[in-house]
Amino acid sequence: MSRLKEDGYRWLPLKQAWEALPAIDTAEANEMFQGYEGVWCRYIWTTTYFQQFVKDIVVITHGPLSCVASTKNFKQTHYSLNSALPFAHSPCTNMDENMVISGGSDAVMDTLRRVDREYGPKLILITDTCASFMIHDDVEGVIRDAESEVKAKVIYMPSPGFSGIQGGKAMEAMCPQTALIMDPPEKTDAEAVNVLGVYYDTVFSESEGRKHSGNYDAYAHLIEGIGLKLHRYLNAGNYDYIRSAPEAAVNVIHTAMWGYPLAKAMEEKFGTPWLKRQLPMGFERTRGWVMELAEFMGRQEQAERFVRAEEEKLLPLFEEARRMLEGKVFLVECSRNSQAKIGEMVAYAHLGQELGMIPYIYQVHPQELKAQTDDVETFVDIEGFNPQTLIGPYFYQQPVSVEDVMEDLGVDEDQCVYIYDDVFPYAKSGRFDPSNVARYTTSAQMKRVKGASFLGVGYAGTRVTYQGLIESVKAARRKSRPTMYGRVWSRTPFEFQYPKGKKASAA
Amino acid sequence: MMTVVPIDPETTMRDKFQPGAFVGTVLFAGGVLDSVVVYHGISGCNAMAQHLRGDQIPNGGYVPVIPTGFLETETIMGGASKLERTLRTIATGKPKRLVSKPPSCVWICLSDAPAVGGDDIDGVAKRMSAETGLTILPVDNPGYKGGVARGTELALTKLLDEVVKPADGPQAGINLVAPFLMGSANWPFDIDYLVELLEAADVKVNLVLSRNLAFSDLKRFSSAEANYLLTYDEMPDFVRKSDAIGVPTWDEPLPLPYGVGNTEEWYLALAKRFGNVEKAKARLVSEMADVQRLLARNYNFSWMASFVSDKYAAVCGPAPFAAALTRYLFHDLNIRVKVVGLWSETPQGIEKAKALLEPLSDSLDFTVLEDPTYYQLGEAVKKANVDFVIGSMQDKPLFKGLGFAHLNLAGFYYFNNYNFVPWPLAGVKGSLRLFSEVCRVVEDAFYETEAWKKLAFTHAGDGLGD
Repeated sequence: MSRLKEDGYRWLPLKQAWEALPAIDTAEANEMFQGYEGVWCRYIWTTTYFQQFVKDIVVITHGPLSCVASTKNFKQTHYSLNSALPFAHSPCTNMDENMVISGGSDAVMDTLRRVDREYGPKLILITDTCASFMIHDDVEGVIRDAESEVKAKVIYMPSPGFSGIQGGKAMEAMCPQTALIMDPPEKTDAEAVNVLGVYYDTVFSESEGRKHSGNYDAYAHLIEGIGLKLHRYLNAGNYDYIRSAPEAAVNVIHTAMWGYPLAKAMEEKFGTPWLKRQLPMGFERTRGWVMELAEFMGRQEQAERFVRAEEEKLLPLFEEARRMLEGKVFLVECSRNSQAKIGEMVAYAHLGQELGMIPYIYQVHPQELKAQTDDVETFVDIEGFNPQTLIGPYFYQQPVSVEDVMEDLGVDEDQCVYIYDDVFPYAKSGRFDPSNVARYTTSAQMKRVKGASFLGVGYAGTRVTYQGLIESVKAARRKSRPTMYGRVWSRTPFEFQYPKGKKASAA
Repeated sequence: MMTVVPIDPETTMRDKFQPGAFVGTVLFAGGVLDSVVVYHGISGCNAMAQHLRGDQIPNGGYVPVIPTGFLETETIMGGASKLERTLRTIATGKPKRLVSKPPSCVWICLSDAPAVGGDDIDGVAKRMSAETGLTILPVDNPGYKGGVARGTELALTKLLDEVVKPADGPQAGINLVAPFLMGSANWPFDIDYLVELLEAADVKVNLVLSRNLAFSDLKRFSSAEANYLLTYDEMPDFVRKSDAIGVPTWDEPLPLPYGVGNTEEWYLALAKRFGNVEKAKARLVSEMADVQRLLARNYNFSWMASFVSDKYAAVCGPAPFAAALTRYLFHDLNIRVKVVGLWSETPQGIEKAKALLEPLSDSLDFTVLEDPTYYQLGEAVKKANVDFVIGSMQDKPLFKGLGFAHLNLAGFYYFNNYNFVPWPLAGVKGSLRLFSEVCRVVEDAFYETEAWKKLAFTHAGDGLGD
């Protein structure tokens, strides 16, 4: 029996894995998944989703400064540094112990007035935090009282941290609130298409000075390629940009987890229809995404020509990639740290399968998987992709060992390709390193390629992913001279420490 | 003249980077290498604690931060049982091992949700300590209890209450308190060097609270003659309790030793009070000789030292570091600092920093903003139109967005401060690194990179000769 199986792990197809899991936040789940903590919180998701991605909104935090710090500490700073997002001014009521006891409504009023006067934004959102929510401060009452004297539009966004531990759950509650910012359309544009489900990105292209493209250019290419217009790309832009989103004829989806909840809200509130496919990367997914839109908009012939032309350009690279990758096991590691993200990684798995690899998804915590219902629906039910997924205890969210995964699957270094998300990917020189196992960075945090989406969507994104996978296989042929990263993590950092006569691969 | 923009006493509104009290405790515990932190609270706060715990790793060690898994259900039902279960797992290694061996001490930290919900961490600690034999120190440190300095103070007072015995023997040397609150993003290497520097002047460093300690080391707290706080924030509870067990706190207002001038003042004052001034002077002379050997007659140094002279700068950061950097830029480099943003958790922190800046007011015209919002700071820097700003990684997008060159030297080691060379910014020795860092911002502030893009040579193409 493999170490993984001894520890209670098992592979199941994605949908069956999802069905086998208990509902989140239940006694059964608590017992089964000791130490599951989640990642981030509803407050952090809310402040980044609204505050930073939309440049003329100010979000007031009603809570301790620590909550503001928890966002600035990593997310807001990283998003500014690497994803072309602006600095987020984050005025806060600075809740202290006295305010927890006595209430903080006066501080909310004071902060609201000051922000309106000093910052002069078009829109102010007020978020609460765990503490202010739990003491039932009446934020909506403050907004009502301030209505006559505050120039900005003010909206309350409830966001206590504890109410969205599991990623999917937070988005279900939060994303529909974007519709609160929108105005009913006076008219709709029959050629206008919105892309929903954007997180971590903005409306700012390389031609405008961005060093590495986001996904906007990729979607503009797909939509304009069939004669339509990319109307709004959300959440991003500014207040006026968002409020006029319902003028589009249809909503399409970048990621299901972020996109479906808003699409449903816009359908309900404005009647905007929406399509379900997500993450167009690789031939099959991109064709499916474009054709779904084309069929809805009556552009099938134009779309067929567009897709065929784009595929022809990529075909030699696709064939080269397939020759090198066919038959390999695709180790799709969602995130050793957070174990929260699945959508993009499963899309990469699908791309890998198209190239002839056999994908295995792991390092996604079962409670995060269970919460991401929309992803499971779109991958399995709509797109028919149901890859093997590892579920098990993930005790205190500790990662499983990649080498244990390989042992369980019965594969060696030459039979694998490793992709990963986030920081601390696995490496040990002499055993598992880019010098002996093909490794490609698919982390949204770290993948940056000039001229293509950092999430790998669209034809340019597909091209760089094929290219990156090919280069990774070539790099792993050297079987010596491991990376510094692998050496730092290893007990055998030097090749002279390997067993005599063996190179990196066999130590 | 020094113009002060005071805190508006009528408002609680702030916008600054100030992690909560639990982070102070985690930073403190991260220097007690055989301990473990159990974090009882929401994952967003946990992520910040986990991230900032990393400050103690370079040339230090890894102290696990183990979350209890506090979810929405626990907000409603209470989370004591999860806390108990986690402590039991740490002690027994069952159902599975979480740490390699039972730690010498477990610190319990918590976030706002279990604190407001009333989870009885003291009661759980007592029960589980009796059941498992673990030494468990629960610290009531949610974010709303204050910032990092307060969280450090809460950890210290917990130690004085439950671990440290009153002085009953000879006392010598000092306890250096809260090195991570100096405000330098290079603090791990700075404090390691400062200990070396002090010991060279016969200043005995009894404990660095905390850095590379074993839990048993903490018991010798009261062997020190005095505490010396490396933050300007007051810690009244700690000072009072420490006084009571016979360890007073030396509260001399000194600039932190960043730059040659500040170092001379700081080092000689500490040597005079706790060690040997002559040895301190000899060390300064020796280090300066090393610096001179590198820089005298060095064309590159002469160029850059002359180039940066008379330029305009702004500084913002934790009050001790921002005050020291302002003095360094003006005194050592002849740079005109026009705007200083001082962040502090307590009014005393601001006052101490201002007292150290006030002597500059005869020879420099500048504005000091007390605990400013980022918006205020941005507006002040725009008005002053400086050449560059020294701040922290968190404010880089603000100032770069306003068109100012920016250098991140302040704050914490985490996040994205790429300091991998264990060399101090502090001290005479550190002035080499400090000046090298300042030179880095010159590329951004003065090189005409935008002009290069517009003026780049291009092939004349087919039109050549037309």
